[in-house]
Amino acid sequence: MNKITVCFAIAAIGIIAIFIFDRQAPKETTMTMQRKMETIPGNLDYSGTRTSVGKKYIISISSRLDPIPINKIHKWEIRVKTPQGVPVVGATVSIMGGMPMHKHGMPTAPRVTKDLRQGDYLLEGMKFSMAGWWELIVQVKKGSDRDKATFNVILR
Amino acid sequence: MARPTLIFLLFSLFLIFFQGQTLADQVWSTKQLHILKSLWVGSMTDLPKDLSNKFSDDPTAVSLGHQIFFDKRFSGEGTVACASCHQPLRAFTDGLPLAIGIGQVIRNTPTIIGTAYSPWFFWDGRADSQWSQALQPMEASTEHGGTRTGFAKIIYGVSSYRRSYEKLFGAMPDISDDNRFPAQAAPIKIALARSAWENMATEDQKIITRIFVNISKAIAAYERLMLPGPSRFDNYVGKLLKGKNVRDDQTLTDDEIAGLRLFIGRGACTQCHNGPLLTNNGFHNIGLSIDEVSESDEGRTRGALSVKQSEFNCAGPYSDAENKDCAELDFIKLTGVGLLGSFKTPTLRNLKKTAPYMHDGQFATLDDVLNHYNQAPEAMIGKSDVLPLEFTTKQLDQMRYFLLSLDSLINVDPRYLSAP
Repeated sequence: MNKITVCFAIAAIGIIAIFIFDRQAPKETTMTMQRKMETIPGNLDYSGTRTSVGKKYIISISSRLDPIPINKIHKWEIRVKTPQGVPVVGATVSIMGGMPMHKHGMPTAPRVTKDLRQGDYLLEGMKFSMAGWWELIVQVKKGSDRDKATFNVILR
Repeated sequence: MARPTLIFLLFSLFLIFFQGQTLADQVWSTKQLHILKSLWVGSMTDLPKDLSNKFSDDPTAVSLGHQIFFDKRFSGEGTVACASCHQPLRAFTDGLPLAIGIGQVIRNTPTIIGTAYSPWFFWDGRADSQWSQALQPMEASTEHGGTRTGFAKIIYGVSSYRRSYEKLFGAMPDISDDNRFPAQAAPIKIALARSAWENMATEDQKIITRIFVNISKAIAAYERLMLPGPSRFDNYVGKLLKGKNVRDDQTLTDDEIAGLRLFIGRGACTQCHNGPLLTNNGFHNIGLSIDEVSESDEGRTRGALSVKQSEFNCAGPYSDAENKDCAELDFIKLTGVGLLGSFKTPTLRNLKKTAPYMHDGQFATLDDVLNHYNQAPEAMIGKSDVLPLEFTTKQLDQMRYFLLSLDSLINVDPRYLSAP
């Protein structure tokens, strides 16, 4: 083997070694595994209309802005009907929200500010501070009938 | 095939493979490009109007605010101006862990650049406009250490100031009577000034407070001009979006690009550091260490209550906004565990000039910051929002390289970066 070949061989081995060690992934730890597990569940229902948990109401929600903005306060509308399709008027409607994967709530305290009649309610103060999976829980109370529905929203 | 030739061929194949990796590192998916565009300075929306300050875009207010910003007479001892801590050459910070005004301040000086886009001011968000922010340091005993009657009398007594003021806000009332309007009076903790203030007639207090607010509205008009210019990162994204070849021109180095990939990818940094200013202007607990827990460590818990109760907030009597324009204040979150120990997400632009970092300046270098995020200890008060990055040393270096590529000049006429 001549000198040139030896030089090539040494250079090649050296570069390959750097390449391998340089790109070696860090050891996976519990936290890294936990982060991987915290992916958005694949079977989430993203529909804007849901039957409430106790099947008392059909609740629909929609943002007045499309696409839903990040870091901007905006308004939504909530529509409440009975399972028979009759608008639920004069109900007390409230909302809670947050990011299940981050275990934090919304950055604002949104609330229903106006009964738009015919079972429609104006929701103000909605704000999302980051992209990802947000959960919105709408609670409806009419007389003694209290029920709630959970909605999933993905922001990109 | 001769052995040397075989080795040479293998080596060549390796080089091609290695180069292939480098080429692949320059390719961004549609989703990644979407994120990059969202961080790009070119995505900044038009400067939002400050409806609480009807003078915010008035050139006379800008000029008056510019003068006051650099004028040390607007302090108790004539030694501190806004620009003493918000130094233009340091991206409007001061290079200190904790600010020093007339005394030792308990907070790190945040930058002013881009804050016109923020709904909240101070690390705990206890003000909701640039003008209502500017009021507080002027009377804080460790900062300017002045009083509102003192400031009003400067405007009244210095003819150039008075001319500009009256052009903007109308004729000044006569405040020359030191019995009615004591030289140093303010609703602050210092007994003499407080006592003098309490002895004033309510109407006279209102006259003085109105002048004080107007001074701050002029300062805000000046501050709102400070916007970030394009950084090397922005130039890189701009070229990407135009479909230009960014592979060979090294607008960003390979390490910076690797850091950028970590930033928008595995690091999940854009959850909070998003938008062209790389901040969601929200409040987060990141598990910082605390020597001795005190009220000031409660962060947003106190800040939210404070701004809601302030007479200088968007819905208050000194605001020019209508209540319907105060949605951030109206729908403010006042309770919840997420507020405790939370502080405002800072911009990541101009990090080289804005060290030390965090609300209490506890990290001297960017490496310290990254090491903190790499370990993400549990919060000592409240609950931390962050998970450990668990990056290698090299990845942390790449993150640092990327973050420093966000430094840029200030996008403003240079005459505003020094005293008029």
